[in-house]
Amino acid sequence: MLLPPRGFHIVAGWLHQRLGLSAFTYHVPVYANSLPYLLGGITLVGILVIGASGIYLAQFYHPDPAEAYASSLFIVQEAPLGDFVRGVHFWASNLVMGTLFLHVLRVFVGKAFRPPREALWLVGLGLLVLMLGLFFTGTILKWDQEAFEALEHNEAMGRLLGGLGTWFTGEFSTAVSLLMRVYVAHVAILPVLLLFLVAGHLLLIRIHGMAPPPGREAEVQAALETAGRGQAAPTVSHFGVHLRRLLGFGLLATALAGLLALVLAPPLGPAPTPGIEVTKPSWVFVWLYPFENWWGLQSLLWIPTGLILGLAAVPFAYSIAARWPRSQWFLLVAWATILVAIIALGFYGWLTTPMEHLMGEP
Amino acid sequence: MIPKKKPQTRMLQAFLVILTIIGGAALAASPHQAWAHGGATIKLASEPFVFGGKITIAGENFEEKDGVTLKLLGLAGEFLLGTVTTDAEGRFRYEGDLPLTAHPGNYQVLARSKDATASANTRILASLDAAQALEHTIDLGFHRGASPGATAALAAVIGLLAVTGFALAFLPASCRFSWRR
Repeated sequence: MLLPPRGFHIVAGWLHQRLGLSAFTYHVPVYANSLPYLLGGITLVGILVIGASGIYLAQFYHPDPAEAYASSLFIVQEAPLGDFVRGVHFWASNLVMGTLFLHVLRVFVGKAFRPPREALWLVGLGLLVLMLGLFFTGTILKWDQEAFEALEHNEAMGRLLGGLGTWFTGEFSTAVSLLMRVYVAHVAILPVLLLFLVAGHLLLIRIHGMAPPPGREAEVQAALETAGRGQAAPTVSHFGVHLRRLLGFGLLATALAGLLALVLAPPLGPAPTPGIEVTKPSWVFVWLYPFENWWGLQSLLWIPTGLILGLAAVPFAYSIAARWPRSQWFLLVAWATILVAIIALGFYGWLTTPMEHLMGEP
Repeated sequence: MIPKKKPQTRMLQAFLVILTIIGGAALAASPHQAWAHGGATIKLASEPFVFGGKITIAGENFEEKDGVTLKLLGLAGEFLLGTVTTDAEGRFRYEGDLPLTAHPGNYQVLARSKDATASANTRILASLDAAQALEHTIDLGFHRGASPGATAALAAVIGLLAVTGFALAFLPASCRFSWRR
């Protein structure tokens, strides 16, 4: 055991008494310290890095359509370490989306949505939607050609929804530009919602604990109870170990984002030219591009909606399928097929040449 | 007695079969534009192009002494750049003015002969300033070569983060920090 320097324990004990740090001295299963079970925490550390870098970028960014691109250029050319901080923001965002998808996959494969963790799954799904929204709005703010076309798609989606979608169009408020409203969503609305859902997500994890692998519920529960009585339990660890490893991997991911920012500048395309459609979305959304080519703009609305609703139904579908064990394999294979299709469509969308979709839309 | 396959093995086999089927279908459905036609290729010199400026196209692996039609395709329309004849080795070089009706944006340059087609993507920028800005942003990866001190400091911070992260992540679980003596 590592011991701090003499006297340090006085300060730590003072903090321990006043901040209630004993709430964090609880037992977790040993498997919770493995990398697959740390992906959610790594994502959270990444979100903090993105937030910190975003605060710095906001000091130089001007969310006015006439000035936004020039301010993006100012950040990368003039602002102190602006290009590096923008690079960290960009690469950390992409890494976070990657760890987030892997986290969702781990939770799904490990069936961590089983009762009583359905609410935890739904809150997590809400977090996924918010992160996708943050990634999308962040893409718009750089206000290059890709960003402009992304905003045009956003408006087209809003028009498809009729009255319900007015919020996503310029018609909702003529006093403020749509870019400014996207900026407010990116720096205020979505982060506040994210904060609430993250707090709820962590609270539910604390209440229910880390979901054990299927079939090991009784074993894990017994081990935790043994440790709780003060007896030795080799399959039980301490939350401090979990937190330490989580922070460690989070710092490694941050270092990777910093290294990528140092050697690979994030893209900034030319200033936007209205009336043309020549770019494709980033890797997070490019799998939707073939659908847009085949079935038009409305597929961008209904395909993701169907997918989110399908994911929301997962815990309840598995509860029903629990009565017929073979049907659970069928569900798992069906979702695996969807995942492989998304990856394949992503490559397909990446390879296709840009096509026109918005021309002719009102 | 033949041992029963573990459920994980069956699942993995099913997953690999599905992956193979979808991968094959995706490859078969790949658009023709993604692949070269007959090996003919074109290269564009001095990108990015500026509105109202010149465009230079070099082609190779076409049929010898063949006519090649050059076009610019974009959402602003289709623009005929010109026609050239390949030399004895199937190569050509074209230099001409960009049409003034080809407004700034992204375009596809298409070179089509009787038996081969080649294409390349490019962009036309609004002005030289925009071209310089784009060139600057592309070059940003190592621009801090102009400030080696800043680069070294950043690299040191990144290294420290990596070492600290590695130590925290891979210290043995028995190695616990305690504030109590």
